[in-house]
Amino acid sequence: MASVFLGINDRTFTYSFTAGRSEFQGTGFRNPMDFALGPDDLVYVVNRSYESRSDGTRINLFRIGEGKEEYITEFGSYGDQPGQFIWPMAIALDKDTNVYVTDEWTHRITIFNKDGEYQRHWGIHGSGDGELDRPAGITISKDETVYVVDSRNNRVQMFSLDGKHLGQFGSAGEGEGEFNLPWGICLDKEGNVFVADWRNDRVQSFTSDGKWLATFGRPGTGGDCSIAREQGGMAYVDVPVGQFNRPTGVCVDDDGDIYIADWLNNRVQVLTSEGRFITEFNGDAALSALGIDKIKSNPDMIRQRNGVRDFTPEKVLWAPCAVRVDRRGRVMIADTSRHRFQVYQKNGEPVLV
Amino acid sequence: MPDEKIALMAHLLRRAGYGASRDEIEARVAQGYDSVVEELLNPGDDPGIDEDLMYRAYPSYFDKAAIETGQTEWVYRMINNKYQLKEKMALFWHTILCAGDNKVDNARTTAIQIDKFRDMGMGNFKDMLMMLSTDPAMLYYLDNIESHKTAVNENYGRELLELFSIGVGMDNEFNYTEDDVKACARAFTGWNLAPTIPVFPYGRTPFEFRFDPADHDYGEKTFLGETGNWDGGDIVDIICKQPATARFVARKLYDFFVADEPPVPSWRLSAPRDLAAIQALEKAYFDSGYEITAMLRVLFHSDFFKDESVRFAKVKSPADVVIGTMRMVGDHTEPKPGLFFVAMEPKYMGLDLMNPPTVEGWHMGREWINSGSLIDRINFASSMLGNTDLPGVKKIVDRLMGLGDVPTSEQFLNGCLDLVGPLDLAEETRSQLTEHLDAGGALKHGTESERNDFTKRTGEALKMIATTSEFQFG
Amino acid sequence: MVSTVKDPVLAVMSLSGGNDGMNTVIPYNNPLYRDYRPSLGIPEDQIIPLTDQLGLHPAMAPLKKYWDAGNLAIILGVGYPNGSLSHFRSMDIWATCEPDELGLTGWLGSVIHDVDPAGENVLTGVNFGRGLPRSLAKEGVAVASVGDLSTYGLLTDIGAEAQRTEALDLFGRMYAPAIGQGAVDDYIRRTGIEALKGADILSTAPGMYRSEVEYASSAMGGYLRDMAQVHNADFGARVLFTTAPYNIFDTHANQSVGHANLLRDVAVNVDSFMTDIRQLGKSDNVTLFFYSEFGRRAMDNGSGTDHGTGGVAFALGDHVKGGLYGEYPSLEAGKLEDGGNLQHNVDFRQAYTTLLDRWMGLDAKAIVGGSYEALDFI
Repeated sequence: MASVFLGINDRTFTYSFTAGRSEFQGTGFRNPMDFALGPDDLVYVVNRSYESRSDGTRINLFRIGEGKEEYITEFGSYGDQPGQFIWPMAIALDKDTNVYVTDEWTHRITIFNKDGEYQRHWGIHGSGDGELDRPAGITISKDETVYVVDSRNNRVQMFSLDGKHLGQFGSAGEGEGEFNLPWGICLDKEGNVFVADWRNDRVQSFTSDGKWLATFGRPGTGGDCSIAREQGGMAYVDVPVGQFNRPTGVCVDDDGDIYIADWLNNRVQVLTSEGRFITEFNGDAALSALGIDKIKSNPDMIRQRNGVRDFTPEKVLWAPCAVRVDRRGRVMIADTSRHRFQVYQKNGEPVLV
Repeated sequence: MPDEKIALMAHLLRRAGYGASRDEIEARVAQGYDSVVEELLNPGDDPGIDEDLMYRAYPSYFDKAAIETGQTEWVYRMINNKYQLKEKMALFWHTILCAGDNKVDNARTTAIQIDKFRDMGMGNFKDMLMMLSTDPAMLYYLDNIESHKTAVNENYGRELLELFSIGVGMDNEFNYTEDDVKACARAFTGWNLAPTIPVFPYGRTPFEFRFDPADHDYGEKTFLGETGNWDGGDIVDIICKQPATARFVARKLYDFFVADEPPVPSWRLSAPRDLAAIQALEKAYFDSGYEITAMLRVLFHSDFFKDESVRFAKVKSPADVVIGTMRMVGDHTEPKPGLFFVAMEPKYMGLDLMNPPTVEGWHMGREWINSGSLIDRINFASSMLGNTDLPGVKKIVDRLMGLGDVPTSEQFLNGCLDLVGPLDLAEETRSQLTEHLDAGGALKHGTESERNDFTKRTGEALKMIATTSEFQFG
Repeated sequence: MVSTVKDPVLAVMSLSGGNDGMNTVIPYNNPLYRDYRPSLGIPEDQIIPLTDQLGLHPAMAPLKKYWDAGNLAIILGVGYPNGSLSHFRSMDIWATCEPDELGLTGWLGSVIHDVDPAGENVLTGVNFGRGLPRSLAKEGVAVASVGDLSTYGLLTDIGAEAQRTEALDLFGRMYAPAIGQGAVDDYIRRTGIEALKGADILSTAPGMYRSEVEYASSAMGGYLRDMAQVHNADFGARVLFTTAPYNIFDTHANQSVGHANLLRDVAVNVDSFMTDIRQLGKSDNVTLFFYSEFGRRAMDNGSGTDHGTGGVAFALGDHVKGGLYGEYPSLEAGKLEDGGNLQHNVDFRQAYTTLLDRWMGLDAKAIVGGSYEALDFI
């Protein structure tokens, strides 16, 4: 697999590095579902783990710098008490770096401060205005509006930071502005809202107050496509369109390029703001700094690795749930079933292979 | 008296699946027995559950870091797979073609084997044995990875004959000799695994089959009287055409779906319980060219399967106890927390899924029951059936309220038994329960408080029914 | 027969899977040992010498003191004619004493029957672990199977005491009659009544047990600790049985690490068990016998050993006469059985006869199916 991807409009991406390893505590991740980018390369990560190892269910804080990662702390735990969660799904930061975590089982949004101290939670189970049924994706705008994907109510709801209901949009269905169990959410720099319409195998965009703008993608497992857009009733009939299999996470960078975690296709697709296909990432993982530490203390594994001829299974993305791009053009992918992050660099200038 | 069509359909759905709610049983009766059998025998290629919803709720099922995760996923599928016979065949083959994760230590590799049992379970037996002989979990479990041209490890070769296909003997004769074991093992030398990426740092990678020609014994072998340069595929061909193999598959199917047979090692000396039934299945085996579906079709349409005497005459396996109860009470029909604890129950009752005690599998029938496992079975089923918050129990309460304004204890008890079976009780058991109900006063449900009391007493009655000896049979 | 203050108790542990006897009791001075075990030979300087010819695997070190004190008997070359190389068959043969025909009655089931013919005590035989091992199976014989002593009981989800008592009472009445609905139904009813009685009694054992002795956190450690607690409680249990889990001694491959860990688990926990019951003052009437259904082939296969025949068994207790019993099987090529197996020279039924005749005071002949010369370890 080439590590440099030639896209369109001079965009190129280079595989950069892999961060993390599989751990139930401390220096690693366990089924990272989502993450939020804080200041100074700090990354807050939602670790889901599983019921028989609920000790791995937690938020942890890493500094993921250039080519290496540093464990800082972890907080939150499995349970239904204040400061706990059962099925944590997504995470967002406000401008004071308070941490907002959604929980698809308790229907709550739990808030911690930047150091991980529990502050409060809000969210009532139901389908009325401001009530939540399986809150999934979450994001916070510059004007401090909290957008929550209210997945089983098939809508997006807007709240103030303390949980006051501000508005909502969307309903169940397959049409424009309708959803089927949506998951991830993000804002572009203009404040437009992008939602991973999970069970409709597409991403939809909206204005900040919920007016439908565009739909990207359609169901499928094919990957090699050049246009991924169906907008305003227009269809590019002779051109293959982008196909998704249960897209989970979405983000938009400052250039307006759209990154979509294409969950069951085990990849991330990149589209232009018009929906033209740029590239896809299937995974290029090498050993992370923490991974090398682990292997060094297990010499039998060094021997075992030396016998392996094909490392493809270790390199590829596996059911990724989230993707984010930071200010430096680093594309970080939560490689959920491999308990790590794969990081690509969006190049300012074309890079020669 | 229970309705015969309901009773027969309930029997079919208990054996060819993990039971069904009364609503489903009634719908299936309306559909007709023959049509239901054909539907069971022809499942779709799809998973039979909403896998996307399952993985969204339980993302750890992708990589299955621990065997518990694999067991929990399997239990979820057992409860919810709409293709119940297809699902049950996964367990059928697992109880015969045993590999255990306690040795394989790679839960996803083990789970992939179970997936193959599910997908191929109603296919051709030859395909099943070929799959098994290239299955990484099996090759690892029975040490074929240590079997070399120059140093043969007989473990897989022996068990393939002894426990997976021919069986040690029938009709008082031995089916093969030690020389056959050696020839068989030689034919599978070089059937190996590719080197696997180790568990650290990103979790396990499933094993992959690899044939190593340099380590394969290409020499001449004599196996079951046939001489040639046999490899594993030839061995499977020769195995499949043996009358003893037809006998083996037939007795295994009969044992699992109809009535308990003794364990395989005794089959040399112990005649089948119902020789005519076994012969009918053997005929289907050969007539169809080893198709399992053809054998099952004969079985489910046969009088020996439908006969009243075989109903509730098999000791339920722990999977039947746990999954049957869950399907009856309608719990965990969609993802929710707590599934792990349900999924561990079969293990507590003696069926540690994906971890058979030995390559011989579990001793079944009455051997499922000992004072320890009986306590677990009773405690589990009674706590579930006694929980009137569960949707399936609520429906039973609703139906019982339809029996009349004030049902007698006897009517009420018969109603309960009908809805959890239809199950029959020994006269003494029945009179003890009736007496107990009588002591509780009239079973009214006119007012709100009477309805609450009626509901509570239904829960208590179902709870005690779940403790009965009769409830241990399915 | 040995005289004990209280009735003798037979504790048995099966090392299921086929323990490699040759690497448990090692003929370290025999050059053929090195020839046969190029990959798995234990370095001589690690072997714990017992005699100038034989020594213990280093992981067995915790048991050396019992050897030194003369309480550990080692039975060499133990097996039976035409040894079966199938685990299940061989386990069943050891369990039923029926090498030729298929037996369903376990030898310990018969022991339970003989010491308590009327089945008056539901705890005469106790299994530690889940399921009913074939060794304990006998028509009409009750065995309590204790997976975990600390949580044991029926209808434990009914919180209210009075209500639970009422429910258990009804349960007892429903299970009481011998209704004649068939053998399996009768069996379940009997088992239900036994479970009810047994749970009541067993639930009192942990409260009577005061001990500082630690066991390994393995399955074997848990079972032997529960065994010590039940024995300590004086419920009248005469047969205590447990099995190492999951065919675990079946070391076809990667034996060098795995086998050492297994032997360590055995030695550490057996030592804890003996220490425990001695400190509790209850060791006088206990003999612990541990065995495996077969040994393994003389020659290693590169990384493990395949199923063999002649193996090794152990008896340990205050009344055991320590030492070696039987002969170490010859390693000479011409003396090996077909397939390169060690020939047995002691029949396992001789060991059973010793335990039954001289320890339990029972008629061994009927139980093991014939006359077998007793060994002198008791």
